Amino acid sequence: MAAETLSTTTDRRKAPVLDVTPPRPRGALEDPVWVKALVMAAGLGFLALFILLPLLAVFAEALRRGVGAYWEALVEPDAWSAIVLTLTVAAIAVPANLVFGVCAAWAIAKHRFPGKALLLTLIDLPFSVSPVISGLVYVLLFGAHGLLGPVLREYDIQIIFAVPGLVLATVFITFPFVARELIPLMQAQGNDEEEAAITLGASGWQTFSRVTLPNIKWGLLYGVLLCNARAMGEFGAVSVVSGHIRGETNTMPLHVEILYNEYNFVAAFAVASLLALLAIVTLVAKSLLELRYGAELAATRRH
Amino acid sequence: MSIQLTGITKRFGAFTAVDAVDLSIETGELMALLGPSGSGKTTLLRMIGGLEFADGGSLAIDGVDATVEEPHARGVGFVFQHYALFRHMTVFENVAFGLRVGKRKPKLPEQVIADRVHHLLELVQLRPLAQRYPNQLSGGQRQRVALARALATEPRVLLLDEPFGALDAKVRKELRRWLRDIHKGMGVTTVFVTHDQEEALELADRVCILHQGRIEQVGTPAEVYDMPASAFVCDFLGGGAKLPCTVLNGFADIAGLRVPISNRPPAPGPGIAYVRPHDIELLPGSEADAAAARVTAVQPVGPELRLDLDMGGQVVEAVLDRRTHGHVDLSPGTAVGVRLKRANVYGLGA
Repeated sequence: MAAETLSTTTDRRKAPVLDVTPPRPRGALEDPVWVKALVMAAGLGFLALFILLPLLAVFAEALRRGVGAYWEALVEPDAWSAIVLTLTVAAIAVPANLVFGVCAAWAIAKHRFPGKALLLTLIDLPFSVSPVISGLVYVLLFGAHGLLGPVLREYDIQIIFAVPGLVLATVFITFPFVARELIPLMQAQGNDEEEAAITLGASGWQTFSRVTLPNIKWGLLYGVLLCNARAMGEFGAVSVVSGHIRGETNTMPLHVEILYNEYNFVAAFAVASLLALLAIVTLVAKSLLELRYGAELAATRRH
Repeated sequence: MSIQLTGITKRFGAFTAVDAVDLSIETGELMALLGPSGSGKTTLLRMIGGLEFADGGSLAIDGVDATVEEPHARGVGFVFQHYALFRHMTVFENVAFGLRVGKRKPKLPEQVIADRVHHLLELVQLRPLAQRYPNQLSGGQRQRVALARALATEPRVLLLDEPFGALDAKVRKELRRWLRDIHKGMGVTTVFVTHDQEEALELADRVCILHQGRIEQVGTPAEVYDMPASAFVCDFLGGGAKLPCTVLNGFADIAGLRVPISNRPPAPGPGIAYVRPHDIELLPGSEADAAAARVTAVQPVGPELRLDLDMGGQVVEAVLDRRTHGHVDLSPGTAVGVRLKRANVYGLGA
């Protein structure tokens, strides 16, 4: 009885407060409409001006003299060889980083060993160092006057100003993408499932292929997509080691620069449009992955 | 199958998790490893299972040395605290995993695997959920899948790490009874880790109580409850109020009361007595052979009445049956007489 009386008094005291509630209830974090509109307009306007407009400009410029000129610029031998070279470099660098990245992530996330912090720092190095310096490091190592230059010359192996140099520089630049994507994911998943697999009699390889790999596959795919986009688009490091030999060591980004410097704008933008297209495809694929496997990727979403 | 641990030691850096433990587990026994967190119980279990390897000592399964044997070669089934189900596989595939992997030649025919998995799912009452994924199951269901998966390879020893730790009270109780039944039905030697003394006492044939990496006592639930070998064991198993006392010949003097000692009496001298809530008798007012106390709090909990008593500055907890506690007035502030039926007493050195 006493409790009832108490609750009635509380209700009566609350009543006037309820009367002054605003007509449209609004959450503590909800802002007035004009604030929302302003912030949104600022964001979208900035996006349109600095990202969407340049992107459209690339395609507009590329198609300025019609589809015929656009097509010709792409099948012209030097352009074509740049496209093939870019695809070749990516085809070597991406699988290499897929394997190295999985190995590094597995070692770091699932094991305890001395020097783990150092390894983590090293993985981040390509992100923190300017790409030009990455390229220079390889020139210093493998160039004609480099550390290993005399040995390489003796065996007639060409690394700098040749495809191997381009691959090495690209591998270096894109190394963190896969590993960085996988480490937090694997750390969050822990070792329990692997231990369970081992107590059930699975061998090391079976444990990896049937338990570890399926658990990281979407994160892995996501990392590979980002890695691939960067491998094809990389300019700085590749520029240093390439030597810009037309039809031989020019990748697409380098070829774009050369054409542009020659005032051949249509051709430059035609090749550039291919790179832009690649970026768009990557973004769409990434969004689709996120839409479908959001929960699995949530732990890793930083890009 | 019997398990024999001799001087098993495990260190993590400077920390000694398990310190020279000797323990023997009989064939078909259901043994509980009980202790607070950090007592080394999980590490001990993982060493039996082959997930950690001992730094010292030896381990024999069925008389054969298995100290450095790989987990599967030991013939153990392991159930993990957080189930560790393969999240990308259905319930069926989880249970079938142990039948598909390993160096099995020739491979088991699909029909044999299906029969065995369905039989196990029947056993854990999850047959209709065979095609579900782990994240579509409740905690109790996941734990049963984990158990079916561990039993699929017909282990000689079943090891469970805090099997019911993450479940709510009701499911926990059901699963306990059910594990007991399965153990009886299959007769597989079973060791489980728990920090819940009630669970250990209710479920196990024998209980091994660990503290700071050492064994404090091994015995049947009745033995460890009635005759706690150390103050730690007594305290951990719900020792009740901790009171200073003087040990005399055959009894203890607690606050002027002459109290029988239920465990093995220590040498005469000052000591510590543990009095369980059930061993406290309340009398109205003050009587000659009772200590004076004052009721400070009363809390009815289900069929029981829990009381906090102030006994000369010491807080003592008592439990009475709500229906039969008689006509003693127990409202807070009332003075009552207290009689202690028995106590576990330990010397100060122990």
